[in-house]
Amino acid sequence: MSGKLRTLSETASLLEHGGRLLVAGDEALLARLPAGAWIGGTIPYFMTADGGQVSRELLFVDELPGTVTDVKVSTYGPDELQNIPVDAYENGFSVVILPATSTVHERYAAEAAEIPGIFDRPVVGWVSGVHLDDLGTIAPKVFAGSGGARWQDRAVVLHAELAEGLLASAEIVNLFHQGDGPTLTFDETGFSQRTVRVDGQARSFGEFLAESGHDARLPLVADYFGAMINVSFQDVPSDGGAVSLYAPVFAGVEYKLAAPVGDYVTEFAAHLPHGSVSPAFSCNCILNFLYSELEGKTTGDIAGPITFGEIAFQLLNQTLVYLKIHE
Amino acid sequence: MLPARNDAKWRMLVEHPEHFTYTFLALKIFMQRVARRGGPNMSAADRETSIDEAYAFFQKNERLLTVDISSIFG
Repeated sequence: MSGKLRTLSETASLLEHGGRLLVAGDEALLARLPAGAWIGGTIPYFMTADGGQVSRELLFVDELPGTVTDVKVSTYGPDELQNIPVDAYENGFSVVILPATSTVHERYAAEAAEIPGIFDRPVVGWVSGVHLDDLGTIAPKVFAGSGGARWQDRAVVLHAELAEGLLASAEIVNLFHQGDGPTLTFDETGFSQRTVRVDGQARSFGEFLAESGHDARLPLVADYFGAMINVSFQDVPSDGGAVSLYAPVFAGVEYKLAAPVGDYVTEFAAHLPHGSVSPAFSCNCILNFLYSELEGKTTGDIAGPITFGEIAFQLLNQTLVYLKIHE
Repeated sequence: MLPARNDAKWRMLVEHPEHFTYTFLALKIFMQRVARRGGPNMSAADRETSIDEAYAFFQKNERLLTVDISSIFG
């Protein structure tokens, strides 16, 4: 099952009939949804069966399947994130939405991989955002179970319980892999880095990138035992100042600059798993949407919000995340 | 089938995660967390914590980890 774009009234009707929903869309629409079993986040960019779309008039809705036997909606402040796995069902999964540029976003990005129990069951989700025309003027929001309950500084989580015998897994599709350049490491974990170690030698990160002629649309890539984990560039100042990133790099992890990717849509199709994929939830990165000009183009059968960050246990960049239920 | 918690294979796994290959995404990211603790140089306390976490992780996800369990533990 994949989600799709719906009108406000269609979405409200689903809730009134007991639907358990994951919703993405414009803040004004989300604010008008009735109370129910749903979480939401602001974003106007979507990948649909008809291709990438931008809409402030429609909501993207994933309706949880009947194999989900129970749900509960919770919110977490920056100091409460360790409770996410504590509150999860023994057999199920959790969907997280974080408001971009908030403290809870930064804390989750830096700390999630160390939360006890975070890997015990699937944790997927995304980072809410705004239309790019509204950057800096409107804060991204998240919603928890009614239009009246919205935040810009808390994580919202829908914990889902699966029927006995069923299992879920978090999966990713990442087109990037490490290039053949030097190994890059960092002394401190963080979103902003002034200094990089290039094959062990400390130097200005910005100057290194400029001298390399690196295309900043290509992320840093770490190899987590075969899982390629991206960290995307937000700003590379030309004056040698600190380089800003969309996710933290971690001290002790080895990165390389990504190798170039060919045509995104073609490559994406080649990276999809064999056989049909019908995820219960999926999302893709706004940087993939922008850099690969996905508006009007389709990416297989996978549809979902186009986001300011993706979550598969920890924060990811420029990666498609999906949740698969194994029946 | 998983080895017992006190089997030496668990210590081998958490101290030398690079000796194995993994197929399950959660396992790959989890093993990166373990690797950041220092491999064979990790403290005894970190080693015990890592083994506890790994054992619990494999128990909870055993049905999804059949390929990895066979590959790692034989």
